[in-house]
Amino acid sequence: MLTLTQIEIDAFYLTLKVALFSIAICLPIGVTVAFILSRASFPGKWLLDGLVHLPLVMPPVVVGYILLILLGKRGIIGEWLFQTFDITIAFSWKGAAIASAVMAFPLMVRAVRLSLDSIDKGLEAAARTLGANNIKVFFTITLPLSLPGVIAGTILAFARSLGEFGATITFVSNIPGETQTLPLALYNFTQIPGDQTPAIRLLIISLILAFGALIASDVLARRVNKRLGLNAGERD
Amino acid sequence: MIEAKFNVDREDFTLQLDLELPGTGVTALFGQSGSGKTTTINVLSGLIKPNYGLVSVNGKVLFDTDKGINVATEKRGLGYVFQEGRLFPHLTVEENLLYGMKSNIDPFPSQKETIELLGLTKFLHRKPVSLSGGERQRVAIGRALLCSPQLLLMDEPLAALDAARKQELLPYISKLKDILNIPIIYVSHQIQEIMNLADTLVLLENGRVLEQGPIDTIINNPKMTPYFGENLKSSFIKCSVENNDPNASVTKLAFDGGLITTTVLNKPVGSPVRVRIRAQDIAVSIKQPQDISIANIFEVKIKTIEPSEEGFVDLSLIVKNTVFWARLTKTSVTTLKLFPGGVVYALFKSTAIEILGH
Repeated sequence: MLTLTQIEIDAFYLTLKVALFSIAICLPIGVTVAFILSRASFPGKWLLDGLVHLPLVMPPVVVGYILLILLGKRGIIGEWLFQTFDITIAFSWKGAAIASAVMAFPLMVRAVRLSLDSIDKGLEAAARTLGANNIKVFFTITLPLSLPGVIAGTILAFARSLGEFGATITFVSNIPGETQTLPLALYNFTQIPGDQTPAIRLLIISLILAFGALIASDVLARRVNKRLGLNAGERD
Repeated sequence: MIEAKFNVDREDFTLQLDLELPGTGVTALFGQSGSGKTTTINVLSGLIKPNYGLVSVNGKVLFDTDKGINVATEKRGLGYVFQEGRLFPHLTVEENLLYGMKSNIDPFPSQKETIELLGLTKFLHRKPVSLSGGERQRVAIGRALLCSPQLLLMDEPLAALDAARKQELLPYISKLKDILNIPIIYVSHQIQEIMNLADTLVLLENGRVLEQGPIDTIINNPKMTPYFGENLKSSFIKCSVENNDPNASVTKLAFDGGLITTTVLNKPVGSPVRVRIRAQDIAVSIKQPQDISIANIFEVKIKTIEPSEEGFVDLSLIVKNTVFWARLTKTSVTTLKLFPGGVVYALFKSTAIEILGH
């Protein structure tokens, strides 16, 4: 019971890797888009807003299929990537990370945007009267103050990645050791009649991973709130 | 000199100003809420862009629609103290103070002096959330000063504070006036604060300038009484500390016309002081009074006798170049047979003297 099988180890690390890479893609783009949506006003903003939210309202299988059309080996962008850089995304863990990132993107943007919207614009104005240009204002005031939202968005995106199934299986299939994350492996075992032990073992591993993420986010959020001076009890 | 001629047109609000303010001292923008005070300093700071007009501070053009100039807020070199302080919550007091400091300019007063002047030494490593309202405003003032501004804008810095905190902060602002040699624009709807600090007053109403000029002229203008909510007719007298006598618990203040005796002041000899004596606190005698507790008795000449509110009469009394205002009843004027040109004695108690910022 205590020793993990190769399939379990592979699935665990792969899930972690896919989730982390998906956040790495999501975070910078998500913060940028959230900032644009929160602060800028331009014609066609509703279009960007809608586009960002699309993965949230579309069936994951559809998203996976769109990704396949775009990024598959014969896809519009995929073919070009393959011929120019020799990069294959479809049916690889990179594809799984991209599928996760796309599905998690709206959650990230929403969380960060909410946080940006709640920042007192007066603080940014105050920074400008103190001689700070837009870039300095963003990195010294806006971003630090939106950290709680950035953390919340990251955790949501991470959780979304851990559970990503539909888009992943459609886009990159279910290849052990390459694209078979925990939910996909679990799905595999549930399709085999008989002993339920392997499926339950995977379920427990998933639970541990999810709980670990929650605890980590809680610790992080507390630290950030303390640094932001948001808990009034703190003195000195 | 500060020039501000501009129009701000909004759906529900129009601000149309044509101001020329002195390039030194404290200018108060006074008016009811909605009169355009805050909008005016936001235009000066560049946070609001007027529809058209011109803004320049001591020769430096900040905004000019004709020439297409609109200097960005961060390049205007102004200090702005907001009503709510607006300290950065995620930074310590020290980090807040240093936020706007320029690497190529040594601030005046220096970092150390500013921190001492505002009494911030023991707060430096705290977060703003743990400070009281008054302490936060002191940090906000320090932060604005340390960015080496050419003009200091203060938007009702005391308004969010309770009476005790106001009394605590006011002396710090008075001190600034003594030390800084940049113009200060001070927004307030508290006439008491303004009398304490300002040299020049601009009265705004519904987005227009109703009156502007030296503070004493405007306060003593009977037409202005309705705007201040009470009759404030007073003598404003510029003095300097002549000597302190703590044993007798009095300080003598020299003015153009003699020496005023007041309760003891904690200011060194020679410091400039402005005092205010309300018109109703000055009495008039036709003979020099003797054996009387009143310490301030001046031989004065009656310049004008004019009717005032509620059947009172206001007398302007001249000694050298100083004007005292005295408010008497009509009966007193008749009984004492007072007339313009007559010589009388003006009397007021030491305790009737209100010490203002210089």
